[in-house]
Amino acid sequence: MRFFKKPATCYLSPNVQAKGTFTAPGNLEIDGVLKGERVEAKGKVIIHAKAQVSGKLKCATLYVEPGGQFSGPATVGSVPSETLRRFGKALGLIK
Amino acid sequence: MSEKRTVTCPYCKSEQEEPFAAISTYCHTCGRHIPIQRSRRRPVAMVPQNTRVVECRECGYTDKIVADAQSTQCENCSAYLDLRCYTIRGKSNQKIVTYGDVTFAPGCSYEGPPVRASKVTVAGRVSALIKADSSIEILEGGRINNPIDAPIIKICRGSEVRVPLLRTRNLELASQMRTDEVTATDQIIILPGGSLIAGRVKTRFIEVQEGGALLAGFLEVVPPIPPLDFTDHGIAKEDQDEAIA
Repeated sequence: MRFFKKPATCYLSPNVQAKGTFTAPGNLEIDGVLKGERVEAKGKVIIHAKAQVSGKLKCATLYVEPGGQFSGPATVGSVPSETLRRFGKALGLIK
Repeated sequence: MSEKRTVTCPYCKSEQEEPFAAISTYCHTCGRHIPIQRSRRRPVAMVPQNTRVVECRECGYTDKIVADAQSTQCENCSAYLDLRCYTIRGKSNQKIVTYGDVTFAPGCSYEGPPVRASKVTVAGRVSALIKADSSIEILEGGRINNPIDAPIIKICRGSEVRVPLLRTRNLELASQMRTDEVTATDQIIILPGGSLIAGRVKTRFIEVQEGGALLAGFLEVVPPIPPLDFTDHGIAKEDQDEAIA
């Protein structure tokens, strides 16, 4: 019995050329060309070799294969702010 | 020192040592003249077992030297090459330019001229430019706030790295790092617990593993980046050319 659904993977094949904002509920695999204003995925973003991606990227984990191209601002994972980091350090939660 | 061989007197049977090149001698015991028959076998030259390859930073000449040597001189340009390994403990500001390894021990504090070595391991506080020929490893407790430059940079958990500029081939990050610019000609791997906060990141391959974080003002993943031509002080030649222009 499966309690949690496996996150869906969106896949952009090599012959796809997309433009605009792109949001994926799970993982995102790109093989084509994506010129996004914003590229967001809740899970993992994989940019395969020969794929071209640009725009603001936000995801949990990132993997860009050698040969794959990306350009733009990127926020991957949860980046703790300075205040939060100090607070965490004081509590001993962060080393 | 020349090789010697043992010669036996045919008259009194006493033995004595003579140089390999000798063709005759006088017996030290009976005083008679002894002709020495030359052996056809040549003495085998002594070949050191453990050797290391050292490339002169001045002229680029590569030479094989004994692994235990403490220093040598370049056969091409006669530059002095220090081959000693250093371990820095406590407070120090000594000049360190060596072809050996340098270790900054836990709790140490180094503030001095640029450090140049083969492999650098940092477990203390270092306020100096570091350039290594092979790798830089920053261990737990290591603190760095000046540019670092090495083909392989490994930043372990519990270290603190805040550098304005970082240029490398391979970067492995398991701790928090803040920098203005990162250029990795091969790859960047951010391990769980590692976080990279940078203004600009340029690389060929990047992997941010689960639990790792990346905040880049501008991330650029492009096919093979041409190798950087480093000069002293961690500034690439192309940047110098731009500054001159």
